[in-house]
Amino acid sequence: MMKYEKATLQDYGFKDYSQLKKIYSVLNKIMLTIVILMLYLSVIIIAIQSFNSSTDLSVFNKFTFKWYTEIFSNKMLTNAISNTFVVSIFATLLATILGTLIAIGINSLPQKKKQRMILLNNIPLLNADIVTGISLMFVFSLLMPIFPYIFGFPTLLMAHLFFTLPYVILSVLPKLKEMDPNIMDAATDLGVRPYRALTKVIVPAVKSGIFAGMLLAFTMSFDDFVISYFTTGNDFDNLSIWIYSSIGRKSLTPSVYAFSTLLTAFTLISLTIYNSFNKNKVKK
Amino acid sequence: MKKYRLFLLFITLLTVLVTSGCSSQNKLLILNWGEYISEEVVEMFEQEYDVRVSISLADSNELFYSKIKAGTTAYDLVVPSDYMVEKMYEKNLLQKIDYSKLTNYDKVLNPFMPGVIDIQSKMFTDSSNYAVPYFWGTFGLMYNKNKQGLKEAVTSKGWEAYFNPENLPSGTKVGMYDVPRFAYAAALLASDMSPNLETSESLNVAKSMLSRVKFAEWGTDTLKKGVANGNLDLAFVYTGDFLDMLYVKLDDGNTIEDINFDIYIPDQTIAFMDALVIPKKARNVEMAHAFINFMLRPEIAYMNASVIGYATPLLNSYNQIVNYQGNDEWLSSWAYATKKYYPILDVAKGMPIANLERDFLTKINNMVNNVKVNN
Amino acid sequence: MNNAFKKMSTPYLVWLYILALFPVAIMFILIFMNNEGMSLDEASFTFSNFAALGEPGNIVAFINSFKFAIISTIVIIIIGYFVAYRVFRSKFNNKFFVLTILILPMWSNLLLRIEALGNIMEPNNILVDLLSKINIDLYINIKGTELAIIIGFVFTYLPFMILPIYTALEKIDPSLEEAALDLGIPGIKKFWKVIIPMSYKGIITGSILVFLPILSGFAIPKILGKGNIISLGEVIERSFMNMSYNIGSLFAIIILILILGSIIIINKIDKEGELLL
Repeated sequence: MMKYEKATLQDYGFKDYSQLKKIYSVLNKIMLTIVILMLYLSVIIIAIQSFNSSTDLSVFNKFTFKWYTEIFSNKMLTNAISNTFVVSIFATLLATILGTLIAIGINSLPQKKKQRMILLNNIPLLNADIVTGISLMFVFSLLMPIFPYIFGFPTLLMAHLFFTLPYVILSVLPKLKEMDPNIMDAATDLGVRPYRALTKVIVPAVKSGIFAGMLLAFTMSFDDFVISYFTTGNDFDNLSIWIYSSIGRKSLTPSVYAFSTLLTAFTLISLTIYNSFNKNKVKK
Repeated sequence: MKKYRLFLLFITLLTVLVTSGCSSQNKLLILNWGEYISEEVVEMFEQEYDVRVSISLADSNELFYSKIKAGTTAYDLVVPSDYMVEKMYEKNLLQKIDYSKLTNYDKVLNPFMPGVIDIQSKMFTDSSNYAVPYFWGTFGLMYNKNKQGLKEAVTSKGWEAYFNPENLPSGTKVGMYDVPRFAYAAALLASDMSPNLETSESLNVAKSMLSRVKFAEWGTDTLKKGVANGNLDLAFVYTGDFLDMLYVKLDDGNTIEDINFDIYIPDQTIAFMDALVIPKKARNVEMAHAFINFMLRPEIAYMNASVIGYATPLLNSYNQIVNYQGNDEWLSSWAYATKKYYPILDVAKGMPIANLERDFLTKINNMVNNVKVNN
Repeated sequence: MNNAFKKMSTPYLVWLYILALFPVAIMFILIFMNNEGMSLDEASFTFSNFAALGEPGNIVAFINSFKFAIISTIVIIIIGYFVAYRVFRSKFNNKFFVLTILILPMWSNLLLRIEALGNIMEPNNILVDLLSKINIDLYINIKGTELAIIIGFVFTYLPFMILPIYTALEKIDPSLEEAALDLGIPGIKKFWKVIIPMSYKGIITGSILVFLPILSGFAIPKILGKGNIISLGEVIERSFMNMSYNIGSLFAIIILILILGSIIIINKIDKEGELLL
């Protein structure tokens, strides 16, 4: 038996990229870290400011936790925070459910009608916040003769729904388009009624689009100032209004930074716990 | 499944709409600047009068106006600045204040400070029937003491230094308030003209004055912070802004001598006043008057001023602040600052801004934009 | 199948007609009027609002905003695609977890974040102060420049590009890449010829979600430009605040016509609806 030399890739004509690949993967990791840093840079600075005992944002005086405890003693701040959560969570849930249903509806339309819907759907995204805010305020005020106290939570919710629905729809529609149309036919063939088919067949197929839309909707709703200002009333201010209004006459209290940091930290920690929890249950 | 969900949705929306229709028990709705009233004062009022006070916020006079004009919420009290009071009055949005209900207001012995009375006299006629002063102040030139030669230049030349880079030490970073109306007023005051002129001539004068300086920054609250931390050397700000930074530094443990910035208030400057007004659509007018009356109590005004830091309009409270003789560091600094920057003068400093025609305001906006673009 | 779902979007059509189209129609009328806000007293028909288009300040603002939007969107596409692709190819089990982490910074208030960024773009700031305590000297002074504004936009709107691109990439079967390799298409070419064509819809959605807010946003240019650099959003906002809805509506309508017009043209060229959505 003769011993044959083991052929290398080079013999087959492939170039040796293994060195390059190593450098490439290290570069990748560095780039990724830089990007994460980019995204979190402002959040880190806010965290630093939240532990600063001075309200002056350019000098670090002493390390302190007092702003964290002061969040709870500032009645207007806690009020604003709870209002924000109520509206944003409610609006996000509604927008996600309704948005998905609407997207399915749009997807079933003939081409011309579909394009028209998409065009109209883009209008809330195109207008500057103040344009949307004032025009919504105007339209809602036309309802005031019937519902005199409508300004407040109801109008705020409707306004938030107005500008978050397009985000959900834009996230779900592409996934719907890619979905295999035969799946639906197969389901109906098997005797599944349309509405059941919706939840059991379509929704799972576009799951990631729905999730992305939900994230985007919550983000846009949580942080909104201008539209909320014009469409709320009767003392239902949200956190953004509170923050923007506090820069008019006095320095912003660092309790807001403390709250921001708490929110970020809390979400990060819960996600990490949830993730490690899930890792144990992952099926391959 | 879907029908059930729709039904649930419908019920929720219905409940929301219906509950929003329930009118509230004794409630007082106030539209105010952010952090512009002491929570303790509000709580005291709530307890004494058995009423719930809810404060909505906005950060500019224009936002106040949009809300009141639209009438989407029936506010009982609003706290606009002088020129906005005038605009609301002209547009018929305010109701007359019944001074017979204000027991703390002594008609014979006007309880307000001379500076406040002076502002009221320069505002539109009949203004005191529609607005009760809440806080007041002036505008000034805040400067960095650490910059060589800056203090001398500013205190000796005032506006001449601010608008003329040649009169300032080299490399001075100058900041201007990013509200075109104020920039216009500043430019006119520096040219020895009234800030309330509405002619094309005044517009041109303002434009050439503003074009003389390449402003390092146009900002609002960032100006006071900029001078305090050295990113800016000179800025045109509210005196209240300056005091705010002063108190922040004092809270940090510095003493008055440590502070590296100061303010120079020219004779020709803007004086401003934030006042309590009652919109026509107010529902709880009785309680609104009670609130105004409450704020006219000297000890309440004193408490409010101690938290907010702006100048109180009541003479009694002012005297209480400046006559402090005790050992408390903060209180003595407060006394010193109030006396120094809001002295009682024979001739009050400053001129309030009046409301201008909307078209002219647009011209001012365009003028300022052009200045920014050409520099 | 489609018959069952056809009617599902009609309520939304009505909703959009009332809340989106009706105000646009009003704005269209407002352009030709001179009145305060939306009230009809003292109203008059006029073409004078169009003079605003000639103001040098407004023209510069227009150019500025488009400039920022285009440059920022391109930078964001490059970085965003990179990140989305990395996440897609990574071995993370729970990709949703990663996506939420990417969007988490946006749950902190925009004003706070931009002020924090602006804070460290100036010479005397909190980072410099902290670092000086351990004897490291740092000098940054980019606030007030267009670079600062672009950085602000990129840092802020990056997640809005990553999410759509990721959802678009998700459907690509990983074995497709191996198949491409088998067929002899090496590294970079495989990327261009296989991966990108299948995921470019994500790029388009992401571009819409990024370009439009940057075009009409005004907080970032105002703070990071130190008030010296005017944006279209600021022009619109100031005119609305001044109760001159007429001029603000004019600019808003122009943006609408430009963008919607481009979409309509693209739709006409692309008859099968393959290009956009």
